[in-house]
Amino acid sequence: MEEVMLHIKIDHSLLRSQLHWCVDMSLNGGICHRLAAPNGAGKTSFLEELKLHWPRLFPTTLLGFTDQAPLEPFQDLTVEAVMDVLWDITRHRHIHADWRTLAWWQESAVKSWWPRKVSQLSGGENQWVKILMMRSLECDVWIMDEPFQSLDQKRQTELWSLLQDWLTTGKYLLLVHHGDVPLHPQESWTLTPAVTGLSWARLP
Amino acid sequence: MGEAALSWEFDILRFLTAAAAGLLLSFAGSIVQITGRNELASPSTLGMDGAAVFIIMLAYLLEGFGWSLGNLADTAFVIGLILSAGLWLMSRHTHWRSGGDFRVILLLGLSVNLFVGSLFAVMQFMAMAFNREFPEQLWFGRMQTLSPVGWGLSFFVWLPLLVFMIRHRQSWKALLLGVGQCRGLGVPVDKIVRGSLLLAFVATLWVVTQFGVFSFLGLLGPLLLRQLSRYRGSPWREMTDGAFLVGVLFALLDHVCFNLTFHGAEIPVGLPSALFGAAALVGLLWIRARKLVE
Repeated sequence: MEEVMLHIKIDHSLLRSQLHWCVDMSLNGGICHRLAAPNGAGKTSFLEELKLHWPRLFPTTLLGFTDQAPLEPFQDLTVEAVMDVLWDITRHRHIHADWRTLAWWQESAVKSWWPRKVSQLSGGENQWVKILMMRSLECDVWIMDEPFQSLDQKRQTELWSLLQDWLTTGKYLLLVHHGDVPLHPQESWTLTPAVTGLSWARLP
Repeated sequence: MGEAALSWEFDILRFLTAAAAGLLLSFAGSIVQITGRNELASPSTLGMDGAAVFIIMLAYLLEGFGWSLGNLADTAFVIGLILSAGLWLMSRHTHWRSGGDFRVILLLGLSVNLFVGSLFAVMQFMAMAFNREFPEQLWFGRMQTLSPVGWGLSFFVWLPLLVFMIRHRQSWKALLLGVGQCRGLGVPVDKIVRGSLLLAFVATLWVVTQFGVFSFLGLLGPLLLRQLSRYRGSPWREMTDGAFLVGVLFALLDHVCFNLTFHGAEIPVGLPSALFGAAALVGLLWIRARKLVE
């Protein structure tokens, strides 16, 4: 698959939080990119800003986003209902007629969550459901903010294979984390160095 | 001893007017609850009722100086429209972000309600001092047949409402998932929230200026609809045929009030709707609290 570079350049000052950041980074398809910065650097603020500007920056690409906040639909909807909504919004992109036929939704434990209300899922279950939802949507770019945090070891390993599978499609992946701890010590994965064209600064 | 009388007349125009008012209030409630992701948000709790009442007070004062469009309701609605247009233009140049800003609006709404509540007493005193009739809309909601100008002005509510609804038809469902998810999926959520708040205000403004305040209807209509499986997880249905259903039920209640007199006076529909509404709201909150404890 031809390698295409995605160049993101945002320079913005959040005066309210006295944070100034300038991001100039390039993402290559099929490679796991990392964005590593310590606590308080403004990673979450940057991601929020990126989500806000995404439709303007890349109007034809779909951004999949998995953050640390639990999925909380407005009403007390089941996992199945939420997935139906997501599938419906992005229906023009799907090869499969129904998300229920996708392999990762067929796992017995995951299947038992379908009729459960999202509010009844545990933190780890909620995180896994969010990951599967974004994986199912076939987004062009997937940004994950500390995705391993609420997952047990089994799910962490599963996530690695899910991401490897994702990267074989040549799509873009950006993992956001602290940078001072290894992402997953059990896996010997070749990762790109942390994004370098990124600078953070507090306003004086 | 009190004297109640029941007659049976059917005024189709009044029935349609009441249905339109109920539909608009239910729609306004739905749109602010869905875009704000808060089931306690409504035109009342966001201060839209209060702001509309304030505009009626303003129109009342202007009438005192001889500036009027013929009747207080139409004058107030036109003033409200001008102010709304100004707010809309201003908001286009501000960096609006839903989520955090919505909580600010809730607090602002409470402040507006308290402020208008205090002005209410001043208005009563002034009406008494200058020997002027106190505007009926400020007491409670009462349906009445609209003037042709009143119907004409409703065009400024229905047209933008229909255009906005249809334009964002694909996005309403996405809003159920939250602002963060919507942004990632390319749904122009901030634009929708801003437009929704303005539309909800204009719809509330039309109802309050023309007929008066109907407390709780905008809050309860959507909440009651979501008790039915047809409307759960389907904002489009809730805001279209659901709002229509609430409108018809409201018109039926008004029809009963229209035919029921007490000491020769027609019972204003705002009175029972507020009483039933308050009781139903307490009931719903109690059920919600029990679910949280369990």
